[in-house]
Amino acid sequence: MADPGAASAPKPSSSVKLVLLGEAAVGKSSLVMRFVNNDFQENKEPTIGAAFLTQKCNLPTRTIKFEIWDTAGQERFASLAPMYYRNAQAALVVYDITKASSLIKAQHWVAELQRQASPGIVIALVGNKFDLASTTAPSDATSNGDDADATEEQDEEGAETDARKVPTKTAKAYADEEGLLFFETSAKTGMNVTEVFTAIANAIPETSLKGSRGVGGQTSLGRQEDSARVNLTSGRDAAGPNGGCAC
Amino acid sequence: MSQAHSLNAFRHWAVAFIVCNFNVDVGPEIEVIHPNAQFSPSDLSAICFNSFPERQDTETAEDLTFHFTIDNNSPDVSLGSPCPPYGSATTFYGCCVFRQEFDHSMKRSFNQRTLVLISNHEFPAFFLYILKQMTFSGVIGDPTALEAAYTQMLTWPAPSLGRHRLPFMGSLITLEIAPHPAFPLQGLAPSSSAAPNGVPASIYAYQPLGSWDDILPYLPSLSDLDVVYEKLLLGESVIALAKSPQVCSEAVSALVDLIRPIPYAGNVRPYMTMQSEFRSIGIDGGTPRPFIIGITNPFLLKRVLGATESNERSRPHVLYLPDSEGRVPIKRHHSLHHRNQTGFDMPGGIDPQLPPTKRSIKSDSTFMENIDMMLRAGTSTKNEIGSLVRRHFAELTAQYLAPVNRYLATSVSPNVISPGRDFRYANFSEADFLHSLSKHGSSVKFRGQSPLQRHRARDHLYESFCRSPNFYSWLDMKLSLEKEASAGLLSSGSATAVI
Repeated sequence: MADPGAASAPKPSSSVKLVLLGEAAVGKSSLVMRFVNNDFQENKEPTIGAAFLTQKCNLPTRTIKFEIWDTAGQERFASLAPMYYRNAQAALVVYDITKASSLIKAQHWVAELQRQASPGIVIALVGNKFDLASTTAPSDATSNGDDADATEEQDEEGAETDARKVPTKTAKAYADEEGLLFFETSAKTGMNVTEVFTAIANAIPETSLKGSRGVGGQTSLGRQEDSARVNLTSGRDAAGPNGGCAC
Repeated sequence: MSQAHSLNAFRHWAVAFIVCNFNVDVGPEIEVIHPNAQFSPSDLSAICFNSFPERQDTETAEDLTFHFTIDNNSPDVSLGSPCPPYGSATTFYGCCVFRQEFDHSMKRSFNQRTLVLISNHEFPAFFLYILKQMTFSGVIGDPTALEAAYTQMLTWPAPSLGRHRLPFMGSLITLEIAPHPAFPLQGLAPSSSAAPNGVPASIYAYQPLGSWDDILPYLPSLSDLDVVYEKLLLGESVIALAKSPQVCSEAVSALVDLIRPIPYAGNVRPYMTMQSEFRSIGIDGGTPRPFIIGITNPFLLKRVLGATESNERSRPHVLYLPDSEGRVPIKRHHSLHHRNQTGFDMPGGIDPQLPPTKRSIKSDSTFMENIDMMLRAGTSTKNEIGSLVRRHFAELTAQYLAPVNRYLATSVSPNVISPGRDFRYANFSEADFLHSLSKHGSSVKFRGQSPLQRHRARDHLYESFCRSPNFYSWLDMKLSLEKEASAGLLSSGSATAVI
């Protein structure tokens, strides 16, 4: 819409490797399912290893094709995580706003990414399960990890009490300090899900984008053209959070 | 997705991951089979023995990767791919990553483990790539890695001809499956140039495993390439003797590739051990068939050579690949009586002296000198020599086949394709063909002092080829590809053009 050239010529498209990390049962797969299929499923079975999905995100000047690696949160798979975040250009580190220990785990992931992932990786901190918080009065009560061992879901279905254990302020402050994008989302209602991915797409520096690799039998010639087009539009990386994802 | 249904999705690609452990007291044993598969006890034992090097080398610090082929004697393992390539119903292809780690607590101070992938598809380069991904940073046989790999492969569409984009443990692998394994020059640069993140641009399902860059330094001389090429062209048997399963299996894989698009019409066994079953190559009671085998044990060489002698079969050609000690000469020195020519501790009773070989094709001295120069300079980037060798022999084979193609195209009606393929076989006349050959010639250069000698060498080589099983395997492929192309089954029009 902002780019007059976009209507006539196909926009440059590039692939971005994105990895989701976070404690078990915080809703990583649900966020992806909402983003990719606009769907939600209660009591999703735990992910084994990692699931792979793709979704396009249309920005005003370009199309980002996310190659999403949705990793297993269970501790036994933690040793495999480096394979998934290796060469990733973006990461979504997810915690559950109703479980304080999940933010601690998220902070560990952020630290590991900052230490070992690609230097320019764009990290978004995402507090999921917003639907379980009472929207009116966010509680400041932080129960410090007493229930960290409880791996069971603790959403009291139908209860009017506010299940939030992580105040927005706390997480936001941490995200600002570390230079992370920050969102609170609900995979269940869809709140902010598209926004997270769009914000990531916008935050990926244009210089780190490669031409889309081998989509639909592209020749190397086609790939070269692609990267040439990307170069033409470079310098527009501060495009801001306008434009939406294709879902 | 039901459990049975999802297992089928995996079985389209492979049978199982197997973790073998070398137990000093009982020998190799199976630790894990994932997913569970009803291998017969004899197949399990074959997998165990083929998954370890035959000699213990305490110096082995890096992982060894190799592959092997065994007969499928497991009727309870259900196989199946819904579309071509269907894989083999009678053969298992195993790919291995072997690791040896120092461990005080072990009796032999070493922990030796191998991760194996068994499949009915012969995609060794691809499978070894995924095994390397799985073992790159972790323990060999880490159960969570097996589980993650297995779960990921369940989501893959069944193998089919053409290009696949397959997600696997954090990277997207591009796999190209050619319409026939014998397509020449699969996986040759530029596509093999790796992307910046280390993922190869494409893996070709049937590309050779080893690069000549790595194999050539083991050769006694560069002219051994020419010798072995002619043996392979005529479908004769070749034994590659090396000190490690990696060298012998990579050599076998690279040798088979030399004569493509001619499919080698014999049994190909990249790695055999003393415990292997030899009936498959017509020894110990099987039907005599030509073979290319890779071995690491000189006693096994003695056994195989002895068996072929008693069978009154022609003696297999032996390619000795000892550990390299300096420069590889262009030509083999014949005067070296005093030193052990093979570089192996040979058991008594076998004559390491290679019998003089009769060759027909003239060596290309420019090519040999080029390779020699590149080897000596030592500056060639990865695969540079390998590409040169592969291109040279692919071109030679194409030149060699050109007169046969010309004869078939002009003397046989192109429109008639019978339901079977015997029509064209029946129509092929060796005498007619040799007549056509003498009229049109061949662009391959032959050995000989005089034109008459060169013509004799030429006729001899073509005659032998037309009588070899390789000729029929090549015709078979040619006809089936033409049939498929005319039925529109091949996606790319270039499919038959290269044959």
